[in-house]
Amino acid sequence: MPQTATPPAPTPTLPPPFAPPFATVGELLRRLGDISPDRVRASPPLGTATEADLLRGENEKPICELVDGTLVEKAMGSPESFLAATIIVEIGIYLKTNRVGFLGAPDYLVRVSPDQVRVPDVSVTLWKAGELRQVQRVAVAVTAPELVVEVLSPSNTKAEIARKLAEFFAAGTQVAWVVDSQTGTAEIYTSATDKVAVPRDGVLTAEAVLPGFALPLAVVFEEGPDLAEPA
Amino acid sequence: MPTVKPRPKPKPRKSAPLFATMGELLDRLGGITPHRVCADPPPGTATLRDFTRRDGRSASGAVCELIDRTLVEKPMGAEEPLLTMWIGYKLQVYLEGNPIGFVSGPDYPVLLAAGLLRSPDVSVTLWELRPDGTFPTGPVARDIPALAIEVISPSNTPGEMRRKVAHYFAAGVRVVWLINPHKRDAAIYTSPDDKVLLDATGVLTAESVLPGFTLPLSVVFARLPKPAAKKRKPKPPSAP
Repeated sequence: MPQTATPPAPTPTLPPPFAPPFATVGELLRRLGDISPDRVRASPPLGTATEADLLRGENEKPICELVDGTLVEKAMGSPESFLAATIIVEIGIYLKTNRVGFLGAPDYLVRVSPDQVRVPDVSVTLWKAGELRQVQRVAVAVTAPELVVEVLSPSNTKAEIARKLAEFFAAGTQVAWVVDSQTGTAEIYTSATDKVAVPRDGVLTAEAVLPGFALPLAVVFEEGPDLAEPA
Repeated sequence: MPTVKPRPKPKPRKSAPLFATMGELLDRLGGITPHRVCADPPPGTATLRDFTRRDGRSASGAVCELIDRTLVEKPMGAEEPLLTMWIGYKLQVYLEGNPIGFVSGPDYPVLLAAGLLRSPDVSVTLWELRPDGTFPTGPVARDIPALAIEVISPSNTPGEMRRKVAHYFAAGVRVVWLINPHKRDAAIYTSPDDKVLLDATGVLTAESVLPGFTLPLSVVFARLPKPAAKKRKPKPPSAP
């Protein structure tokens, strides 16, 4: 009988080895912007978390972001919550008459790249020409908001915010406001590196996203309860 | 014919997590730097198998211990291994004349309890645990040393060493020496709470393990350079 060549055995496909981009917990904390390790969840194991883990009920509070395959708790505080609410009200009034987009509250999840989910404190996503004016019925938004607002908490670090903004701008964000709850000042970013400082008596604007909108910082910080530290 | 039922597969035990955040883990580890905590395997998931598969070393090649299902690097330095060998030599000389045990070096992982691997810098294990008089073999040692010695590095924290001493005694270690070459002192523990502090003139002993053995700290530290004088700011030239 003629010998027939046996087909080569198919090479078994193995799952890729677990290879986090960090060798130690210290390296991960450095990547996350030197944040407190108290904000880094141990479960799911570092480097292995997915969007499904993020959306599971047990992870609701405090709200987490998904960064480097790790659940990272958002820094939260009542002054920041109040400031975010004030900004939402002011932008909401503008959007009532200028129906250009919709607002996201501090639990609006945005996928900035595959398996990387960020949660801006406030966001405005513009309606796109030729598309239905509908908010996607998904747990995690896939389009980056054009305007992103971050209200800094004492436990936020500069490096953390810089990386977060860089990810938003890479995903399509056009303007970002970073409001510092402790100094009463803010910064307006038009790219990950271009920023304008807004003093306490300055005005927040986002011409590229909300034409004509102007929100004095004094309004953000002076309306509402006193933000003094509790005695 | 009776049918033999296959033994049901044991269900994978889902053990409760030991810590919720990296902050809690670092607290448990005694407040050490996160740069000594290996991320692969992820903290809280590491097993004895993970340890042996990596030859007990981290990605950077440092000797690791297995604590809280996490691989934790032992700090590295120049003077600590030198002192370690020096102390080991002195113990070896004693054990030549009194063959009651054997000495091990700093990358000797000892299984102190299930899932707990510690590597004492130097240790003495008594032959009474190994009546056949042979060295333990395999990836990890299971014979608990009678004397465990740690040469402390600057990145070791007090909380970390407290927990380590407690782990040793819980496993059956009888005497622990903590030697601090940076402060030129030492402590002899005979239980987690009973310790004798030695200054640079003190003498290390372990009477219950090595009868008659003495090692003066002045000998241990003899080759260490004198501690650098604290840098003082040059005094501003006084006005005449």
